Amino acid sequence: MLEKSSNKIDEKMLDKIIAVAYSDAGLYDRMVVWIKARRYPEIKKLLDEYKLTASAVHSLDEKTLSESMVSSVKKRTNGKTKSDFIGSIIYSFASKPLLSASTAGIIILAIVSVLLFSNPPLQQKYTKAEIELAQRQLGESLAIVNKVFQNTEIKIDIDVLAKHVSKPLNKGLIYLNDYLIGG
Amino acid sequence: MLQSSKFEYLIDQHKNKIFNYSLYMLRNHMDAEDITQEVMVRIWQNINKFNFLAARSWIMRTTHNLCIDYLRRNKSQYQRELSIDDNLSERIEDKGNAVMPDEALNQILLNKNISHAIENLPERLKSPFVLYELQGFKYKEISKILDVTLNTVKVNILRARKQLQKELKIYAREELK
Repeated sequence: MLEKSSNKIDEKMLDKIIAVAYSDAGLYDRMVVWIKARRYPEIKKLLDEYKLTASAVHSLDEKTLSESMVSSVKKRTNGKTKSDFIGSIIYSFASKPLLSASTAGIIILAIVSVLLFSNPPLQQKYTKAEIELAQRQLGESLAIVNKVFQNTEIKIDIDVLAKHVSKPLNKGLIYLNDYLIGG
Repeated sequence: MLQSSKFEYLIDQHKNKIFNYSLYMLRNHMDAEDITQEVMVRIWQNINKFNFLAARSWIMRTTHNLCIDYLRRNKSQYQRELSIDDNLSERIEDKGNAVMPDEALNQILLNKNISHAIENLPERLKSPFVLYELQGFKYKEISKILDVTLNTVKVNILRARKQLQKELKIYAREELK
């Protein structure tokens, strides 16, 4: 049995086991390794060994650089050790495109909403006297228009239709009549 | 004003990464500090030249190149004076007071062995391994930093993992003796 399972661990299988142990294998490879690890104890043992190493590697502490070293470099470069608060904020945003994009979006949204909702359409209020005056003026305007229409109607009836349309038409008919009778 | 803010921000973000990478590469605290200092000075000198969003890769590439130069320059007289875990005894004493001293001690020893095993990896395997596993860089970024192909990065990380496992087995056998 052991021999059989040993044969199952070829180079490709070992690569898959390592990738699974270090948590960067694809879903398919994870399934394959998981199934084989259940079936063959040797594969499981190998997987566990690599997993132990991987977790130990990932849990290694990061060594911190002494502050005195950083300060001395800052002094060497510009003689300035105090951090600039506003500048730091600007650069902390600039270094994260997603964060700056979403912040810009929120700011634009806020400006648009302020413009839309803080300035409602202008509603003018009139006094009663102003309304009455407006109604009176409107009535007068309509009366003037009415008078103009009436004058126009009279002018068309008397001056235009009678003199310039009916008379020549009548004359033309008389001529036509005379011609036909005479003929 | 903006220059110094940019510089300070970059230093705060990357100082420990630079230091740790140098430490794994050079295996010596003082040398690692020298390299870190040099990288910081170069960041300042080039603060207006590099793209801010690509700063991470630029900084690590500079660190890597300086480490390689340093190793080449001092190849003949280079000695492994100190280990990364040179304060191990203090840590064992601290953890000795914990609830499960045996477990804590085992963890410390395992970490020590792993640190040693990583230190002992060949340069071409160690660089991508440290950048990927310990510093969280992506394959693509590592390929840019080390100026190698993506496939080379992947293969070297895999080889480093295998080598590390072999080294740890040797340590385990030595401890059993």
